[in-house]
Amino acid sequence: MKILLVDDSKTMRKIQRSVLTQLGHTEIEEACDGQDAMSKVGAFGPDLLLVDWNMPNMDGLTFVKKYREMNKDTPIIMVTTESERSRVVEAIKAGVNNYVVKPFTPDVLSQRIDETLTKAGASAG
Amino acid sequence: MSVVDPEILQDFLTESGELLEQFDQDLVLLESTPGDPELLNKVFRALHTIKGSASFLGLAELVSVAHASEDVLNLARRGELTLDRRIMDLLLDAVDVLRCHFDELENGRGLTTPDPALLEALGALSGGAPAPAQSETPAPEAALEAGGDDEASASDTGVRELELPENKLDLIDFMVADIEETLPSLQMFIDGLRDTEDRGAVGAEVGEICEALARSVEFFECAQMGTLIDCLSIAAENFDAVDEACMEQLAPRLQGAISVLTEQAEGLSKRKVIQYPINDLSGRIADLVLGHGVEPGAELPAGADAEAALAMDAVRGGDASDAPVEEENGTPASAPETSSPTGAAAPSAPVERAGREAPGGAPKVEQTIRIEVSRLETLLNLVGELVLQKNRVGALSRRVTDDDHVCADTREAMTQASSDLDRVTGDIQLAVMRARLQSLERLFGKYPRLIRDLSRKTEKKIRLEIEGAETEVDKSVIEELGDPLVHLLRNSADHGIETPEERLDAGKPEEGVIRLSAAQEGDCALVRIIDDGRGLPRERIVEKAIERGLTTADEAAHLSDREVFRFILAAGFSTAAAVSDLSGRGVGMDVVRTNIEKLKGTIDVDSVEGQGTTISIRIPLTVAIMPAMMVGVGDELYAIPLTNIVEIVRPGADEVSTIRGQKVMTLRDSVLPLVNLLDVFDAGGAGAQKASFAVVVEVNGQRLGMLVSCLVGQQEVVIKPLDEMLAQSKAVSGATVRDDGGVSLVVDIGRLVESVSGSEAGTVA
Repeated sequence: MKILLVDDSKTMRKIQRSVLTQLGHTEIEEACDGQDAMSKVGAFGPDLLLVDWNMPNMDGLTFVKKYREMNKDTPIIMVTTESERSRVVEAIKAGVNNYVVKPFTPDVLSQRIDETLTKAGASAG
Repeated sequence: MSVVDPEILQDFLTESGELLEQFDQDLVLLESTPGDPELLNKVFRALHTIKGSASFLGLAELVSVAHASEDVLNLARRGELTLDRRIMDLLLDAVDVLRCHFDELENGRGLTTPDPALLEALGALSGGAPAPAQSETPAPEAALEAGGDDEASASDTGVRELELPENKLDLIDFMVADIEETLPSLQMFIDGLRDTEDRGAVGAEVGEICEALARSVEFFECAQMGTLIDCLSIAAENFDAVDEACMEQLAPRLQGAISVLTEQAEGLSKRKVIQYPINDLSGRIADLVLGHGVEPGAELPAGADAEAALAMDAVRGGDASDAPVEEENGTPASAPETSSPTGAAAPSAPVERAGREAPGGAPKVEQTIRIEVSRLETLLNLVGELVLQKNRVGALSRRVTDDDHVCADTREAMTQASSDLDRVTGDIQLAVMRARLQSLERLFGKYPRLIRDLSRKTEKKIRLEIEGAETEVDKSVIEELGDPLVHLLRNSADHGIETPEERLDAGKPEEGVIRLSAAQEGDCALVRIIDDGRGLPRERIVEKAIERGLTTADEAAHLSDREVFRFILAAGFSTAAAVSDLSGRGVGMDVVRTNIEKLKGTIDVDSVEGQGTTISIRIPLTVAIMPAMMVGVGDELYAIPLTNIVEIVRPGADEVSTIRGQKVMTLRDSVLPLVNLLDVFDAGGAGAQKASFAVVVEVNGQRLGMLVSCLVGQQEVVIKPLDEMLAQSKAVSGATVRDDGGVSLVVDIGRLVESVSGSEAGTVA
């Protein structure tokens, strides 16, 4: 399964990558902001996106809105901080399928990914 | 039923079986506290879980019963139905059917089709058509199917708890706030629709709002809200294409949809999912926007409003009273929740869920594994063997210690090793026995239902009080104790407790009380059944006992109450004639006694006429391994269970005499029958030692002296069953291996006492 990590912090991407690797995912691509992600989604064709909220150039919310214009189905998990929690509904309305609050344990992320994929799989089928 | 993975089926049976037991108990409890919202939710959830798993396994028959009962409970939860006795009877019947299904599954049989009358009766209560065994397919419009047939089918109606992963629940308040902000603008657009020129523009606006809303409700897994929003959204796309007549029919329905959505959003803020039968509404909206018009009879009059549309489409009646909203009086506790802006108020439902759904994270979850009982049996048997070998090692060590030829160091080491082995074996034995212990809870849990049914049948008012259900006893005890307790409770309810009128006349409270208590008493479990009924009539029991030749008038006069009451336990004392004469008490009492004795337990009856009866049952914590006194009888060694021994005396010649052919001994103030074990076991050979010690034993309140040749000492014995033939012939309950490796018989005190009192009666008669 191909996963696209969108986060401006290299450390965060590294952490998330290692968590995903632990969970057995190997096909991982990284993008450093919304714009970068927009330029990569086409070629990479991810099956799942993990998107940070706060990023320079194009923030996560804007990216989700734009991405949803061209792709309605690929599940997106928003990576947020505690303080962004109250705004998550905005992201959901923009088309986010699930969210995970930083910091998260591999277990939590794995659970969210499972939930999201099961849900996406169910509605697609 | 298709092929189901047996392991999954077993899991289902275990889990659902437990749920059902709990359900059964809670229902009975619910009868005394009708309308308890917590309890109602609990029973509803239990049934819901059973139904859910059963439908996974394709158990249509089971699902149909569960479903029908669930509907009824749902109404009760919404406060629209009071669970009176009649309904309770139906629900309990349904429980019995489900239990029957579980049995059938367990035994690999097909499921019997539930009685249609039961389904119909349940169906009639919930106002819906009886759910047939085949699940009904709601035939929704293809265009609207998308979000409509999720886990919570759109055809499902009623109020249920919102079940979501925690991270989603955390957001629910934000989401509700958002929806509640959005819906009025949506409402505004639809309200203005009929007077608007540019319907296309309005449609675009509405479509955009709906898109965001749809994502939102999808995230929160509110299938029905999703369906309604899809309706709005599809309608919005076609606003400009709809003609006036059509709009006349469409607009009120869209307003109705918004009204339902508003209510559902409000429900979500209370963590409730409110479901309406929206199939007609959504179907007709789809028909209208596709230009099909509505079917005849479903047209709304000109100028109809949202409520009229909802009534027409059978979503809800014109008056709000039958809307499935959570009754305010039903859950007073939910009121403050609504006002709390965030989830910080921690409403009870999500908290409880968290505990249930996170088995890894919840610390209170006990870590258990299931193992076959046979493995435990094997383990216990092996421990028995170990105890025997330990005894032998102990004996050897004593021999070594007494042997002067062995050097002192070796002797000391031997003693040390032997005592260590003794300690470890004791610990192992305890641990294995503990592994077999089960609390009486599951056994006791069945009785409220029994008493409830009995009290209904006999039209008496009876309250069952249960104490000490947490007391633990050996698994075998649980199995054997069930039937006797049912017998005894039934007797108490049937014959002990008087009718309300009689009780009032006797100056007692109308409601009779039966107390079922359990406690640990030394190395015994003490189970008591205490009723405050009419008590046992001594005179009539004595009459009966004389009639049956169990005693004589002379003797009876000297018998204590307890001794008299013991007669009701005698075999054959419970014939039909005796039953009616003795106001029925005594039914199957000898069966009770036999079962209890099988467990090496004792039973004791005490009663005060007019005030009630107490039956005490004492059961040793373990049956298989017990401490015993080894005694010499002639050349042989016999084991006498230590629990039965009261004292050991050396009677003088003047203390032994014979009364009516029965040897007796005087012990202080009382006279006890005396048997010589030398005679019983034909051990009195020529060179046999004279029997000079009397071991006084007691069983079921009856005492007996047993003459033995010598006393050897205490030992733990493991009782091995004997061959039937041998066991029948003599008063022995089994055999055991002694510490010297030899075999000894274990004296069956119960049988010995019985034979003495029997021959006594025989002599008298």
